[in-house]
Amino acid sequence: MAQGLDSDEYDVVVLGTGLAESIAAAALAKAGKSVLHLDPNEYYGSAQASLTLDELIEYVKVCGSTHPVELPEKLEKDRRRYALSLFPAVLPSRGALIETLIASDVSKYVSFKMLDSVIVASSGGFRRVPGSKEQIFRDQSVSLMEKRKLMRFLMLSAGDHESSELIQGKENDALLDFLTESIKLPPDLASTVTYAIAHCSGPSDPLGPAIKRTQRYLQSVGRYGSGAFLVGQYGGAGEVAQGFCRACAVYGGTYVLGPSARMTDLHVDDKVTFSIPCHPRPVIAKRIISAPDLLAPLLKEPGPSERVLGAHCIAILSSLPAALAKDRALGEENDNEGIEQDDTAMIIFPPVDGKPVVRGLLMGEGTGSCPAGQYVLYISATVTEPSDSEELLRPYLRRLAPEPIFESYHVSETAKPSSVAGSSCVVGLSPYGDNQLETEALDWEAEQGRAAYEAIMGTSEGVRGFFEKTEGETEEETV
Amino acid sequence: MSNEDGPVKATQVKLVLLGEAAVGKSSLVMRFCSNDFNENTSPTIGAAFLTQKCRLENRIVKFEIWDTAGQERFHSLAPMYYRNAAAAVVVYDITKASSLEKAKAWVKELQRQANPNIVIALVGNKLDLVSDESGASVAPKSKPAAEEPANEAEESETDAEDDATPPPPATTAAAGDDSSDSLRQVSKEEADEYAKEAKLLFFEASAKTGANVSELFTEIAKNIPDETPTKPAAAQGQAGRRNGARQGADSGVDLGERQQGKKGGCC
Repeated sequence: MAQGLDSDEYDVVVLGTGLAESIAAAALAKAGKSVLHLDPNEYYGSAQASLTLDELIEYVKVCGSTHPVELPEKLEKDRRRYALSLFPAVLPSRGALIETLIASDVSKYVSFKMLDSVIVASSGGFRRVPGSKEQIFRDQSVSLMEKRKLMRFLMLSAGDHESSELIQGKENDALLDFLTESIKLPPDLASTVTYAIAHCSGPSDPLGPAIKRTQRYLQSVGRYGSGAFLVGQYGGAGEVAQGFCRACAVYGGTYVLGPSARMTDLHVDDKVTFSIPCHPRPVIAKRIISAPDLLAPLLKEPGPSERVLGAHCIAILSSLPAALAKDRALGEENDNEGIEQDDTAMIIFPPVDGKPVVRGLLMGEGTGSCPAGQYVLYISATVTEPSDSEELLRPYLRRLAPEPIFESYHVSETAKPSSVAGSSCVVGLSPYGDNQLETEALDWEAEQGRAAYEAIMGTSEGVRGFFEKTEGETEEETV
Repeated sequence: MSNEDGPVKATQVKLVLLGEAAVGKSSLVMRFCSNDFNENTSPTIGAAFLTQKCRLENRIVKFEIWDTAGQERFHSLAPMYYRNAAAAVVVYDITKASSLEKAKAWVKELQRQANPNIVIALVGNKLDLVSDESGASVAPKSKPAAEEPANEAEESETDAEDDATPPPPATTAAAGDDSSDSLRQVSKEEADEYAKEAKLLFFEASAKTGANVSELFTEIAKNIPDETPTKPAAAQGQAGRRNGARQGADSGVDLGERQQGKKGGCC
């Protein structure tokens, strides 16, 4: 440990082990760049980390939550068997991250499952959202007339909607209004489509982007199973980030985490110079990749001012929420051999009474997130001003699970895209700053990772592409 | 044992390597997987993991062997590294006392992070550097049950002795007679005692000569429970079927080639 790093100089230093950073690091190392990857935290993943229960409790304390929690005694023994995500999200089966996982072969060491159900809450209860044509036909709670209208919208979304006369000129109208006025869906069905199929963040979300998302989700159906979304094992994003970090290390990248990785004396001019405790001499890199939030304080610059705030609740349940049990669900047809209960579900609470859209994500033991028989329930919402996450989210938790065995609340702050330091040595990564975090943010991270790779490598002819395979590399590693 | 008719079942097992830098972790794996030794292996090998089968009397254990890729150096080994590992090989260098201390620290780390039922083997590598001992007692016979790369037609362990490839010469140790004794810094007794205490399998081995390498992996294989409930998370070959009964944590979706291309696609 005392000898320090192998070299004083690197092509690229990457600061932070979030998903985008890790993807960029792996791609660059694969392309032959020397990569030094640093994270001042003791754990991988930065804002996308998956934490054990004791780590989460520490995290909630450190991020200044007004609701610090203690580790319940009966969970003490199993505290390290939890993988609790700071970034609960699902992954559409078609999109940038899936393609990156496959191209990089990181898909060989991280694993995913289908998201079992999307469930929407209404004042009357909960109902499963049909995700495919088949399911719509089987759904007995929707009348034949409504099914036709719904199918019309889905066909429209899936097809060449940009040239559709029905849509042209209405791209900035609210999807919800379009559904009730042009498609003539009844209000509750329009709301279900808006929040649980197009995954909008509010009643005024514009039609254009919403229909694009819908198209992508519909195209995702059937690629790996009957749903559109996958959930990552062991907390998802944090595990995937670790997978890319491993890939980077396999290609020769150097990893330092924790206090030994804490940068000081960072200077950026035509090169990047800094000190870290694990190395006796200053380290020089040609370029630095980082999110502005980590970089700004090191450069003694004001951080990004505009922020997206998220309210988060992470709860542990000792049983499946009764509301999600299949025998209760409306219009449910039992498949064949008995009722198979959900292990994973996304639960959407459309906005009511001035409250934002609130989204829940349930992860059972099959996701490796918790010990057998338990469930991890994430509840989150994007909020416009600092607010009390417990006050906002607790009622939703109680509605799903009156007696959780653990609950914690915290607020996340994400800097909106902004640039740091006018040097070409700095490649800034933008955190996802929009409102469809649960369904869009993982792909955003992959796109950011690719953009950082291309910013460093260039995209001209002859430059090695993003995770491009070399000749003879196709099946070199495993049989 | 549940060894009924039908093909011999293969248990897929994730095995992780741990130990101080330069104790020969990768070399042990190279010896085991391709019966090869390279004097100047670079610190990292360029594969995510290597696979090798080990045939026992009644079953096949297929190891998926993960190397640290250097991520252990600055305490930056990711939790995913330990995830679902059914076996671990913790390596030290018998000519370097401090490497045993480091190995003990890794054993602690495994007991903290890994699956509680993990089979841990402690391995003192570089037996070849201590010439007087590299033969008889520790490596009684060459029995390369698993030296042929993943070959289904392999003989079972008990039959392998006759037609095995000749053993690597066990007495080609590098050091001269007078220096050999002084090179050893960790006595076999000391390590053995620690291994017993900590309930670890224990071997002294040489990646260079091959002494005890296949024995090591065979012994690990024997200690893997027949029905390993935890498959490696990355296990391939189980397509993403999920419409039937739920299958616990091992029923992942295979993102790669074997896509399911059908199932209820919409529109």
